[in-house]
Amino acid sequence: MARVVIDPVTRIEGHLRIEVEVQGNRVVDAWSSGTMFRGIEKIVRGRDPREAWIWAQRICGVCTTVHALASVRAVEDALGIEVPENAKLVRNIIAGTQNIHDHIVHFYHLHALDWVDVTLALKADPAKTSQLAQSISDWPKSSTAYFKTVQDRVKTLVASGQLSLFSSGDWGHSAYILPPEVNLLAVAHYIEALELQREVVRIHAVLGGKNPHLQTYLVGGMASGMDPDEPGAAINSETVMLLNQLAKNAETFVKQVYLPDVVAIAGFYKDWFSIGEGIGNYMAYGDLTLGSQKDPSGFFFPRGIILGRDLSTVHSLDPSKIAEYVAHSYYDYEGGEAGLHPSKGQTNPNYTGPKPPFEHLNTDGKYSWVKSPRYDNHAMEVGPLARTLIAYASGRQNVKQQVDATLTKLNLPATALFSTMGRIAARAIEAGIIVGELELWINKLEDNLGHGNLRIHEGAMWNPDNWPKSCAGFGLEEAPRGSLGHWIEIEDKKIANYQAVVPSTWNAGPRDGTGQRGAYEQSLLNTPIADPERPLEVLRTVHSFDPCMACAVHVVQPNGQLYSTVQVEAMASAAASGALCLDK
Amino acid sequence: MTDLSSATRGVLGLGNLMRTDDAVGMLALDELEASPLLPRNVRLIEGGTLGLEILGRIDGLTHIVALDAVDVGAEPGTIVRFAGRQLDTLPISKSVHLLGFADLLAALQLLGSSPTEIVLLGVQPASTDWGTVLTPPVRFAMPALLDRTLEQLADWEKVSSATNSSRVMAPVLA
Repeated sequence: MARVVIDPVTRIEGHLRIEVEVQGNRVVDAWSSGTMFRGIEKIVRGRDPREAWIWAQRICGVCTTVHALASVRAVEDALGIEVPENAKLVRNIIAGTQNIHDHIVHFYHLHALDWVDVTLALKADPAKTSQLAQSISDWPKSSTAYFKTVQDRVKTLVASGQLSLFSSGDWGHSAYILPPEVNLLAVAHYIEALELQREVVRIHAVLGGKNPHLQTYLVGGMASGMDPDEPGAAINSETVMLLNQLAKNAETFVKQVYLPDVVAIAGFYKDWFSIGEGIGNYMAYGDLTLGSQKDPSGFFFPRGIILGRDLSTVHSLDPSKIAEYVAHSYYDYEGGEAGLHPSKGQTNPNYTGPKPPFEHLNTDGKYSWVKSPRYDNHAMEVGPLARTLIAYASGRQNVKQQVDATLTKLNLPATALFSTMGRIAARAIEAGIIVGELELWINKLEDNLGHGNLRIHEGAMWNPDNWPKSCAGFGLEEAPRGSLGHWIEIEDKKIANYQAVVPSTWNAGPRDGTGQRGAYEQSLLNTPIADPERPLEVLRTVHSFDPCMACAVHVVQPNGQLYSTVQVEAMASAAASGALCLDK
Repeated sequence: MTDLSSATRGVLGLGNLMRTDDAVGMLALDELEASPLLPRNVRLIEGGTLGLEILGRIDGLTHIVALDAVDVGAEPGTIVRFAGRQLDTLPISKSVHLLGFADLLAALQLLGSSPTEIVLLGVQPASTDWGTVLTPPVRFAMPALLDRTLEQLADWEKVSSATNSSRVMAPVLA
């Protein structure tokens, strides 16, 4: 039996460590450990609730804007504020853009290298790649000459010895099975997606003043000025045209590149539709409405719960049934270790893990900075797959059509979605659906602009003198990675308590006191491992949840020392990605 | 911060403001902005610890000086210059923050939009631990770093003043 350690899994955000027990080339157990304390909850205590979003937004630099939205919603809920329609539109456009941007970047830049061998792309025949591209899509960049140019650029990069961006691939691993032509196609689109992602996110710069970390949120609405004829206004006739153009470009890319690529690649990896199943319980708070946040019936992403992979019933969701446990997390709760609802949540860090450097976590005790959230004592998976399944099982036609069309192309039943590849497919399907909605919201904003409906902030409760002495609220949201909630308690105009339960808390959390594994942990069971020294298959499943940036994984020696330098030569030949630590 | 969307020369500051000497490139931008010697048509870009987001901010630039802490194992405060093919051999993890400068160069190359010339001026850090104040050797290196940056910009101006690009750039919003 070997214990394989991957630490860190991520590079920019995430701070994740995975340990798996491997026996007979299968994963028999797994532990997920968040290795960094967040603590924003303590930082915002005692501050003005109207500025909480500025702090909360800094929880993450990747899904930057999502915490700002959850935070203003929590304060608005506590103070009973209903924001104007324009604010809802702008927030929806921002959230939708974030979703699309995140999904595209995740597939091409964070996850594709787990499936695509860049070095094999160099062996492809550009003419055959061109034929393949034209057989799956109308995307115009598909000529032999184009793929030849791309191949030459990659060749130059490889020849320079500076693989850099591609340094985290496990090149030559037997689990890579795509033909060279599909590899070249994917590499070409990896490069095109670099361009596209920087374009589409200009929507955030227009509406938020900057990206990352948008600056135009306000409790009560948005601070983006609306005026059709004012060149200095964030939202005027000209910027709405720009938004429209950017959304259209994104839609074309998603429909003509992203979706066909996912289907093409998934077709070669059909076995991954039965690996990485996970818990089988799925949860979505639901989101995106022009109605009230309190009325889930109008949500574009429906709210609900699926238990035990049973798509025949969508259970209703009651936010009061959420509780966080710390049996295996580096926190102490005053008054014992019973689960706490986030509105009564506590953040008292107490590291009891081994002193670094260490070989293994003490998984019998506390082993993660992430808490274990549970819904009615069930562990839950959140994210695009959960949202898609809940929409599908709720009978939402737009989602059902897309899902069925994709499954038909792959000749697979709906149950195939309970898998690593299912997460990837659901993400692409979701991007395809949301990108169409984005244009509708922009059109509506344009319409309001044209009709002189310029109200974007509700200021009646801006003055803290109008607030009750004490109040509490919460803001729920569907961030790209899943269900996000912020809970706030306001006392004498100040924040008395604040808790954020983020998507990765649900997915990456450790076991609870009853031994129920978190979503990553459960999904890794039975993963086949061709080579325990290069656990690419483990990365495939962990990455399928989109645990933030994962450009590189460092290599851990058996004594637990971290190699910080990865040699370029070594990279091209092999070992830059997986990491390991073998027992005996 | 100066942000000239039609500029063809730029200075890109990289680093984490909270990691002691890693901030040197970012802090140098402030000094440059305040300097009367900074040529007018130069875009200053706060790269910070951003990764690929920087791509949008260097759009249109043909000549870039990047300023960063670079660990080459020299005496703290030593300034090193990388240009041309030397950048290809820049060890990937030597940049002390997260998504490296090397990743950016590779992305530009793949996009086929590499600037005409990139020069990296690196400063050997003494410490990259938590902290917001530069260590003395790196602080003392700052004036020399600024001089080298201005010299580089001036060299490019001499060469390119006659052939200055006249193409129209889209406004840089991201």
